[in-house]
Amino acid sequence: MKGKVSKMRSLAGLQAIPESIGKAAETNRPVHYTPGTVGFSGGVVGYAAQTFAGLSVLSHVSKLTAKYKVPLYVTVAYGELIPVVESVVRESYASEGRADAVSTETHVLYFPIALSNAPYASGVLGLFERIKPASNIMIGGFYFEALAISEQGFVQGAIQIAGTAMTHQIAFFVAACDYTLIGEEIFVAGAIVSQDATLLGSITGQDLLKIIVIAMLVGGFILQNLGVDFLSIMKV
Amino acid sequence: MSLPFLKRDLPVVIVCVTGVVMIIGYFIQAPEIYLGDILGNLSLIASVIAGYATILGILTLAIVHVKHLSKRTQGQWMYSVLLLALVLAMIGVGLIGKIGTHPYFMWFYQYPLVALDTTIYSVLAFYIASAAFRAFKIKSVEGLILAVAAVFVMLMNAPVGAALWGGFPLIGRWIMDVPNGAAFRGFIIGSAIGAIAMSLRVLIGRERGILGRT
Amino acid sequence: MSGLISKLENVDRRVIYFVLIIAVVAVLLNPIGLPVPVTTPTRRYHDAIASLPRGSLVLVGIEFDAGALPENGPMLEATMRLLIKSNQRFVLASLWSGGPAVARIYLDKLKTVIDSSGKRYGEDFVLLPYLVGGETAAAALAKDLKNTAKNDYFGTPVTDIPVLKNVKDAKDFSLAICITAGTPGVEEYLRQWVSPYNMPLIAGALGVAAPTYIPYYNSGQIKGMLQGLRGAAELELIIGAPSSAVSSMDALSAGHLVTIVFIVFGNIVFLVKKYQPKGK
Repeated sequence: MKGKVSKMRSLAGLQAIPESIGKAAETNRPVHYTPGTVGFSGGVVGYAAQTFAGLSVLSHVSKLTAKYKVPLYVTVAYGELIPVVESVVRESYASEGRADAVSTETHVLYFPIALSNAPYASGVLGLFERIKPASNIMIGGFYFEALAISEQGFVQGAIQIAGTAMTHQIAFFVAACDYTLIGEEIFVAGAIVSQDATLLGSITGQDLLKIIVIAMLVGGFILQNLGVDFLSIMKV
Repeated sequence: MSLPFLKRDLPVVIVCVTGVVMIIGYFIQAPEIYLGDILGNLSLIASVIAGYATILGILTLAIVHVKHLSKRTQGQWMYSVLLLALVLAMIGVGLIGKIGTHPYFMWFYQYPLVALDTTIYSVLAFYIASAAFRAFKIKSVEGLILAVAAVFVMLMNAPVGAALWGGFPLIGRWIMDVPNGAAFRGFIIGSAIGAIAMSLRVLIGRERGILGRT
Repeated sequence: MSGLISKLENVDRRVIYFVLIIAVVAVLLNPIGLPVPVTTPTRRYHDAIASLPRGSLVLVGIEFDAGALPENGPMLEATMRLLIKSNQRFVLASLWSGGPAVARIYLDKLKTVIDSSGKRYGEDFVLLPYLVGGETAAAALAKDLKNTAKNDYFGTPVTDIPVLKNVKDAKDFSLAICITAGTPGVEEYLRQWVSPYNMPLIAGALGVAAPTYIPYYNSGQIKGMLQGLRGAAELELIIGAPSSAVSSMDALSAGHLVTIVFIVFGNIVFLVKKYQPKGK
């Protein structure tokens, strides 16, 4: 295992990102990106991880938009994300030697989530009417605005790539978007695009953990049916 | 301390230390390692930072719209006036008496805000219909299974299904309990493991894109 | 012919919206009154409350905001009616910032019911303020209620509120109810109330979220569940107080039927186009 990087299966959604940004460059239309509407805080287990995943993919997307000179609109729903997103975009553009283009070609827009996600949803719907994006990339945690934004993106003719681990929104993304990253695929997306050995190794570790869980499920099922109280052994 | 350390390494150290403290406090309940107060304070700090970040966001929003107003941006400035006026009005009535309990605040919440929120939410009904029309095209065997399952589950949910045929609720219930339940169990477990791996990568500072790094 | 088929295959979405509006408005104005059979999860939800000894203390988690009011609101209303009818005491709490305001809407709406039942605020029920921190707040509330919510929503110290007089932690509650539009919601209550304290939990979830909680219901971690607006309507019928949920059922049926008709229509057109002889 040491020194070896496991072969990763390709994720269609990730492979479609350069294609969608290329379409944006050809049609002279911008790219819209959102890292989700769940932010970092709220004490919700697993949601901050989805936002982290969204930010990882944002760094990849913003490097491509810098490279292809495509306008980038990033919409955020929480104030705490504004400086992080601006920093990611700035560093990505700087890494492509286009730090001067940040102020002219990138726009970080804040549509606050107040008592519900409706302000964010309506803000993005209005934005899509104005900018008519050629590519709509949504990676992170979402609530009901997922379908609304996806449908509006379809109306504008955008190539849509979405990914979330939110159980009740994934179905909408699958129905409405061209490419979907389902569940844990968003957590590995950042590692795959970076091709960093340590990060890819963590994906292998993740899969090993899944194998252990499957073994426990199958073993527990067999033992329970043989009369062994597996659940008590697990202290569940 | 050098600037690179402050910008790159110190944030990772803070993330790592606080993350480890939270994990230890959550999983280890031994009285000798009582971290309850620290955990409570850390959660409180996170909430306070989120609150201040909200203020930052509102100020950012205000600055953007004041700029639109001052430049009289065509097609935009009147909406900026409306937004700023409503924000000030809501903050104003919210501060009357005990914060957020005045009848005027409740009126603002119950009538304009709730109505607008539910309107945006209701738009989903139409989007679901148009998305379903596009998505449920039977282009393969899987597409056929998807469409059939969707029809049965929809007719299970709506009273008209039971009125048309008693089998719709039964089969729809089976689809929800067995294939759907199994799929969601796998989804939840996989997502949880993925979140653990992602969080570990963040804690050890190896995840790019976090803390503004690429 | 192929031109017509292409037009039908890519029917303007506004046609779909228009037909949907007409169908829903028509049944709202002329209700059909289709029967609403009560399903087992709803029955178990009702029985979990009705079977409690009179005067039991129940936690009602209002984990939704204004956007989910049309679907979760009737669940909350029916639940509160049932709690009052079965003479239980209850604590309204929320991990969502909009939750307490929603609670106030329904406390005002049910004022007549509350007054006629003899229930009094503070003695039989209380509204706690928004609890910041999501799952951390849920855990803290379960561990030490009085230190987590030091005052009620209106600023009264909890030590001065009779219904909370002998309440320390989750063990003092007989039942937890979570009516949720997302997260924080059921899973947080499962981890922080059910697993550590073996608290019985029943849940009301949005129609779109209910499939997510089916595994927990089937494993017995959730004792009863209201699934979407249909679940709220079923509960209203069981308690004999049909309200907004029941009156929306015909519209729900109409909307579902229109969607199914368009799915079938779209597939017929798709298959005709796929299998039509070439050259036509």
